[in-house]
Amino acid sequence: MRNCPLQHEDSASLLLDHSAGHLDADQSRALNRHAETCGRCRAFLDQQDRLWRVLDAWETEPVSFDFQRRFWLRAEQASAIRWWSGISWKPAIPLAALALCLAIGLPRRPTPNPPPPVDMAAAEAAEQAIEDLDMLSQLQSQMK
Amino acid sequence: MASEPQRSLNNGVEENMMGVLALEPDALLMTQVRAGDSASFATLLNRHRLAVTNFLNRMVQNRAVAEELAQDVFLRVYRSRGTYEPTARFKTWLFRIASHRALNWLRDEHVRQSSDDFSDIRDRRPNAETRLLQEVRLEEVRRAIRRLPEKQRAAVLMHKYQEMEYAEIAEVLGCSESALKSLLFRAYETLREQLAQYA
Repeated sequence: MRNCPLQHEDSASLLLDHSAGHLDADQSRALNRHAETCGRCRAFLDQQDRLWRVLDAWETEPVSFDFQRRFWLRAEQASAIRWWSGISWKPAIPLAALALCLAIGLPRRPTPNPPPPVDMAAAEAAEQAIEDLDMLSQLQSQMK
Repeated sequence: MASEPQRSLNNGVEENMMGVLALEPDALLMTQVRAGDSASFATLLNRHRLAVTNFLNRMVQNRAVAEELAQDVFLRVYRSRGTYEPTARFKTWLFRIASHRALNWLRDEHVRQSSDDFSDIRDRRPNAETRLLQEVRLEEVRRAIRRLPEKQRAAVLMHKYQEMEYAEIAEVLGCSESALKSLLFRAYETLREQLAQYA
């Protein structure tokens, strides 16, 4: 090994791989040879190897015996919910709108008989006559 | 009609899919699940439930929560069976979902309570293994890993306990391989300092 792994970012992971046991025999031999002459790498490898063993204390734990059964139960429930939520409610919207209109319209009271149509000319003539009478009475009072 | 670059892209994706299928039995099983074969999913579940649950347990440090999260992870995979395309390794995809699930849970949990209180929700179920394997040391290991930033924690757990390769972990965490190596270097440095008295 020509260069120190700790001085080169690209090869620094070799030190981690050594503790993890991911190096092949040649790489491992080369690194060990380098570590014999490099105090920093030797110290790093020692500490990392010790850390590796400490971390081994946290072992894999078994999974609950009913993990599979619970999973399939949840999968079934989820697919049932998805079936229900997958229904499209869009076609029901016009029907709902129609029902709403009917609901608003039905309780209304029947309208009373409509008044007879008004003769606009006669109304205007009557109004004119009232105004004429008013003006006449005003004129009479002034003459007195 | 597809343009030349589009055709070459499609060919690339197809080649990638064929490559993944040829190399990986899990991807093959998943394509069978896509075709409606639930038994293949049971095989995948059997194959990966231990690794996923233990990864999640070490992330969230609560056995019951870890199992629930693992169920969520597998449920998400099962739900997306219809659209599954084997463009990546199945395990990478699985751990990507598991990491996201764990990180989200940790963030939600962080909002719910301060990190000091977090230790109180640890799984304190008596465990024969824990008693046998030097309880104090194990507790320190758990605490040291819990104190790591979340991304460093996920990286260390996949590297140390799942024995995943750098490229795989980088893909799961969505970073470059060199960024991952720096991340791991910092994480192990912190762990070496914190666990020096037990090493």
